[in-house]
Amino acid sequence: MSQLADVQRFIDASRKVRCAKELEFLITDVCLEMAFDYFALIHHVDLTPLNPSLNHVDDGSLVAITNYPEAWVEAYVARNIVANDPVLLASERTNAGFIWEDVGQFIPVTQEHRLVTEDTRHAGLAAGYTVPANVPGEANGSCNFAVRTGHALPTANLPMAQVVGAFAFQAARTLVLKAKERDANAPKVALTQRQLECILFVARGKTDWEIGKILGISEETVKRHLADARERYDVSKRMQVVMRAVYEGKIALSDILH
Amino acid sequence: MISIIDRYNKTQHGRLIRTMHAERKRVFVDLMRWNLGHDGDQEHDRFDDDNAQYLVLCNPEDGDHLASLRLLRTDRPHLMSEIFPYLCEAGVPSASSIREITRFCLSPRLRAAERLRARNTLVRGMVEFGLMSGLSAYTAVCEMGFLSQVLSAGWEVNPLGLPQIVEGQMIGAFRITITPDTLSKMVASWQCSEPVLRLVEREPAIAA
Repeated sequence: MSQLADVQRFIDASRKVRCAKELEFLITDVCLEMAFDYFALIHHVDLTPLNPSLNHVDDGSLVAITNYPEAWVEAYVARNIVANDPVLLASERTNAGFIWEDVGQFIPVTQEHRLVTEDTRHAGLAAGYTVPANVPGEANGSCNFAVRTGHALPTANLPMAQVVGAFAFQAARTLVLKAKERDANAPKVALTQRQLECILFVARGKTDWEIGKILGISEETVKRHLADARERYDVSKRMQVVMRAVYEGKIALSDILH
Repeated sequence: MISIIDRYNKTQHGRLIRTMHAERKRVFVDLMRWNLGHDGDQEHDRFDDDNAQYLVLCNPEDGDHLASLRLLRTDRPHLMSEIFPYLCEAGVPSASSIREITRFCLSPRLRAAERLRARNTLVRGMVEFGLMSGLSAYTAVCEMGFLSQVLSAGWEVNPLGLPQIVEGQMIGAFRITITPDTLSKMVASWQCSEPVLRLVEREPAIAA
């Protein structure tokens, strides 16, 4: 059967899954077909909620489904490697699939990154291919495929992995979104245009006084806008407001770096 | 509001069309580095002919282009059939009820929040146009970097072949099925609550 037919079969099945466990089985199967040993479908956030029952997906918390070696998953969560994994950092700088060897094309690789890479290999993940799944208004995510020590990266199957990865993440995202919709208590936060403007300039490192000058309003008014924004997000620090606004896609990193 | 522009009303939208081609040059040539012909200011190709239709979102303040896409008939030569036929494993879809989406362009002047709003408005216009015109599907050649975002809308997308690397970019051909519930099935972050399509004033035909 052609690879496209395999992909289509995976897509059709992935649209019908009712829970994360079903999706996990599907991805495990398609991984084998593509000659990968491991996969990890994750949102790049604190992975503490991750547990084998996959409740964290079904209750709408986050996307995190993986068959990486258990010890490595434990270390990965405990050491919060998600925040410093060069592969994930690289996948936040591009939207197209890439092999792990090439992360240096996207980020400056530090000594710390090299240690993470070494630990990854040590854990039995010899090489991999990552499909970024970054979508505005949502935490960054990725679908990672890997081979175990002694297995070669199935280079000929990377185009298939690219498509499968994107559809797999979409299936997981759909599960999370549906759970969130069910959760009637989801807080609704809407910022005003003025609040957003103030937050944007905070992100660009301006003081309240400077923001007032730029927007032609008083420093006091700027303070009030930012206080209201903190209250809406229920946070106490201005940098937290910035992070939340970026996380929700209200402002983009490209706006900040103007 | 989204305007449908075609050969019949093109001349009434000179400024909008001109600024659209200028922004297409900025986005596809300058920013995305696609290898396209241009005159230094505007990007045009051979498919910008009398058979092309455009859905365009206009800035109400200055009348300039904010977002647009070009629709090509698939029962005539179009981008996928002429330039990328090898991306379709089982032949290039071709029917009067299928249009190809090309040159999906959001103004680079838009900031993140406005950008998403413009995207959602344009996409809603595209689905409304499909429903009004009795279309069954859209096709598109897509850079893989955009696939996740396209899928995140929550509509029915299927690949027409496996992606291939062309001029350093991995690209693939896709089909988006359009049904009466496509709009309601789109996820909240892609929704645009108001109908957006406007039937553009057309000079009545003068009897000969």
